[in-house]
Amino acid sequence: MEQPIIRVKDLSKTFRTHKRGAGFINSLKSFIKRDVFVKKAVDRISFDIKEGERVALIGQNGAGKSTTVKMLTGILKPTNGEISVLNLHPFKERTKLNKNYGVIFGQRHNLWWDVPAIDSYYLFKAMYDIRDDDFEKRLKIVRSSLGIKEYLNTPVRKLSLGERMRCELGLIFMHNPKIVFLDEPTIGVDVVGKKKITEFLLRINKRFNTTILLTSHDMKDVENICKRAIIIEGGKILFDDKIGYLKRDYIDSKTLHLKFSKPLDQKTLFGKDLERIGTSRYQIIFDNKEDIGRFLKQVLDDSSKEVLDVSIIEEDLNEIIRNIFEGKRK
Amino acid sequence: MNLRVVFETFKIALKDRMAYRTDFIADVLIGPLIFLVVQFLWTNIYTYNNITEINGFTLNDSISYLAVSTIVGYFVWTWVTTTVGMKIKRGDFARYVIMPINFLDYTLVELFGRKVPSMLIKAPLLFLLLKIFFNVHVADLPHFILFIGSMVFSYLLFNIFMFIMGLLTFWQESFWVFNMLGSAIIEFFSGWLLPIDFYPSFMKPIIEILPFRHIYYSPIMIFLEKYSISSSIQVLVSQFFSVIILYLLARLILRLGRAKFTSQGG
Ligand SMILES: Nc1ncnc2c1ncn2[C@@H]1O[C@H](COP(=O)(O)OP(=O)(O)OP(=O)(O)O)[C@@H](O)[C@H]1O
Ligand SMILES: [Mg+2]
Repeated sequence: MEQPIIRVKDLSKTFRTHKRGAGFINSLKSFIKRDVFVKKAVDRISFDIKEGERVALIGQNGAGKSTTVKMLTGILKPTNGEISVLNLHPFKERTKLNKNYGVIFGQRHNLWWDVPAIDSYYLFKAMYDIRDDDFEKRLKIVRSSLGIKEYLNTPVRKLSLGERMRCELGLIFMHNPKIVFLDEPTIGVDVVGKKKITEFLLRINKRFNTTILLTSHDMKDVENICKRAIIIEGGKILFDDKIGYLKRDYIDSKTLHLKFSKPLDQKTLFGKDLERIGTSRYQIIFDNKEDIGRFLKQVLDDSSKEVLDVSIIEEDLNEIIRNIFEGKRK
Repeated sequence: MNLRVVFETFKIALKDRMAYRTDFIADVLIGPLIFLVVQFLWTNIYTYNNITEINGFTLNDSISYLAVSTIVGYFVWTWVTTTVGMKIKRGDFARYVIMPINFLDYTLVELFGRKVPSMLIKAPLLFLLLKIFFNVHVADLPHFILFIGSMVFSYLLFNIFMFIMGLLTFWQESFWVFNMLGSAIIEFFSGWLLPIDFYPSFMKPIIEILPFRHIYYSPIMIFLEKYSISSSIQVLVSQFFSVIILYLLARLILRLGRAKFTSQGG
């Protein structure tokens, strides 16, 4: 395919902070002599992202996700390593780059606080040099797909968190950015709102081939929006591939639920342990290597039992990720 | 920043400011208070000693100086140091890095927009009162026009300098100290309360080198017609160059500071 539009090689960021003890004496002490300690927030990470990709950055609190995004957007100066976004250095060539991307930090805001959101949209229109017809066109898309029509004319401070987030999200698409960096954009958004956001992002991605880099702690969002995941832990990359592969490689068990016409009086079934979860409902756990199909066939062929309902439950992404972080990876 | 951005920024800042009307009233009261106290002092000094002129200033000149100083204060004074300092400390500065604007230009325009209500309503109102009660000197039209021009530069000088003080937060987080320091420097070297003519002579060379006299002293002297038209124009030119130098300095410090930015607060 084409050239990657984001390229990162051996990128690192270290923060130098001063430790300060509690209490008056300690703060006096630290005034005179300060203990510096160094925190490696991002530690030699490398990855490429191609135009139109939808990538999730996953990691526990403090893993280095936001720091990475801040380096990609020119907010932080990298300590070491190579970085290029649209062939530009985000920190050194910020002014050339920043009309081409959009950024959301879930816990911060771009909208002006005391005026209706629409005023900020008009300010952005001027800042980003958006043509009148383009502006109207995109405003229409944003307004209907994010469902923010009635919020746009209310002073931002009077909006609920979720309402505001949707207005924020619309704003950064007004200049048709090539890349959007979304750092926890679904904070405080309810399920209906999340669905709208997901659909909106997919639509924008499809229609304008906008590249999406998302960080989120909500694995449902990640699964729904992204195709690829980069997992970081302690500033290092643990996994970088399709989300589908993540499931293939890291799922270690599946759960089978069976409902029979009447309760069974046995503890095992064809060699598998039965766990009762209802009057005539049972749960059986299979590890990855076992063949659920063959087992099921045996059960269904057994004329002494009547199966009323079957369901197979996969581990969801949340559990997979948790397994990875808890070191249970294979 | 192009003019449309300037205009839109200005508009939104003005609108934003209008959302709060109470603190608007609060700072109508502070300026006149200082004026009253110092005016009182002047009246006593002149009448008690039975003198008509000190350093070329009559009692009316001195009171007028003070009155115009109060008006100039309304035009130039903003919370720029603490605003900028807070943005850096809390990490909100990031918001301005990701927008296609220059933080300095943007800040100057934004603060100006917030300033307008006080400029257009409070300043004329207060001046009218001072005129009625203290018979303050009023400039003729050419001097008045030059005075307005001079105040635009005063605004820029004050705010660019205090902006630089705010930028120091990139290195040390106690921006309120920088705010106090900056205010003290300006109050001392600008002729805020006292015409520079009253300063001891060894101070004058220092004051001449520094740009701060252009914040208060120069526009006031133009308004009081202490300068001829041609020397007033010269003052404006000198102000203009001070603005350019300070502006370039601020841009440089902003560039150096940005590399230090740690974007705290998530
Ligand atoms: N300004 C800073 N000064 C010192 N250390 C910092 C600073 N910013 C971040 N860190 C440290 O760097 C590490 C990575 O932080 P970062 O904000 O990138 O995490 P994150 O992956 O975004 O976490 P979260 O999911 O909580 O948002 C953390 O350990 C944090 O304490
Ligand atoms: Mg984060």
